[in-house]
Amino acid sequence: MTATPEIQDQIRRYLLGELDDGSRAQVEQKLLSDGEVFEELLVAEDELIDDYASGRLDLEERADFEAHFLATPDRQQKLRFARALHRHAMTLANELETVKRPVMRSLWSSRPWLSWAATTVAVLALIVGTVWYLRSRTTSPKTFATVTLTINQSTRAEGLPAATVKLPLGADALKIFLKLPGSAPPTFRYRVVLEADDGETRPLEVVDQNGESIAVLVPATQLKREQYALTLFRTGGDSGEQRLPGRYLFTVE
Amino acid sequence: MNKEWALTQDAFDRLLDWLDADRIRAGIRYEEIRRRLIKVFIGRGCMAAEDLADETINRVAARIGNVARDYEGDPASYFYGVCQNVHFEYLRKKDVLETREFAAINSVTLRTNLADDCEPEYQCLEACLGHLSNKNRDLVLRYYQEDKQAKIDQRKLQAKELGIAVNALRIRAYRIRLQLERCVLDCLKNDVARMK
Repeated sequence: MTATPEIQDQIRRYLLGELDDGSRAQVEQKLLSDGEVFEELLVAEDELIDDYASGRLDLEERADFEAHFLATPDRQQKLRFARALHRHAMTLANELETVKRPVMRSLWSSRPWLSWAATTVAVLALIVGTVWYLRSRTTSPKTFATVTLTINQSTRAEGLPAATVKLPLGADALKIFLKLPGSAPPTFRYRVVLEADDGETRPLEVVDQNGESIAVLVPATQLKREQYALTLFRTGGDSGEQRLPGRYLFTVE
Repeated sequence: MNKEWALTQDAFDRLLDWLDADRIRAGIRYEEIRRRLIKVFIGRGCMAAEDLADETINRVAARIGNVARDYEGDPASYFYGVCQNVHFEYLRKKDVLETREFAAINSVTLRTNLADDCEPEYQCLEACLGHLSNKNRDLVLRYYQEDKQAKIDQRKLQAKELGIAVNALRIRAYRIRLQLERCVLDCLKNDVARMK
């Protein structure tokens, strides 16, 4: 296939509805007359869906994706398939990691000198690791499961049904997109507090934001099977910090 | 033109003749054009993409006598011109109420789909992976296993092992994925049928 990076980029933007009428017409004509460009579109569709499913789109692309790309049931079904495939691949990767461990253990017992060498290496690694940790403080998760939540302002207990997240997550972290109630200037700052069923609370780092929504991360290791609520605080404008009425709910199963 | 015009066998035969003198190649070309027209309409957010693609083809077929005689160039471009008109009329016909209902239905569907888990698809996928050859199953699972930089490195390595370019691997993975996706859809339909 001869699709150049420029064509690939143009097709991606076409799929997200980001092209003007003239460029869109150009792409459409190529799609009709050039089999390779058409196949590139089919591949790009899947890649875009994968990027969305694993939380790799930025907020603007995510909004375009939901508003434009996911407009038909056919593509929504493709998204569900991509989520299943992603989950399967991640589960398989975790299983492979688990299988490797016993192999290492038998290696230690058959070669005792290896354990001395490994101890020395481990001590060195610990020192280097501590220094690295102190410098970087946090390790960024590499893979994400995603969920988009809308604020629940109902005061009744039965309100809107909470979104569901299933364990095992099949990713390093859960990326939660919180739709803001009404649009807000991008200069506003947000603070998010996660509250578990038992009342335990902890702050979450806001990793991305635009006028429509913000994104926060929860490491997979911190999720238990229970219900969670997120409370949103906003700073900006004339008043100081303000708690937004309502909460974002999700259940981990 | 007469919008109630229905595609006749004679017009369809002449349409195929225009697409290619060889009837088999003409059939393939026809299917390609139809499939691509559907994608164009989907790209424009039309729910009735298949109907609009068929309407486009019907209109071309209705004038096939003149078109085959006077038009020079790639037939796909001619179909594209007609598709523009069909889309324009479709937009004009959609009244405000229909648009609102459509948006509301679509928004509900989207919310439902996004909130749903993918458990049925996951179960079907596990079964469908069993129908692939070992070679194809390994290829597709390795292809989708890693993330970010690790994924790029993994795919380069995989392409090197197979002796093909990364882009060729991308297409190969896409084609296997498509098989899987079709199998999962069939499996879901069978599950629904069993539950009825």
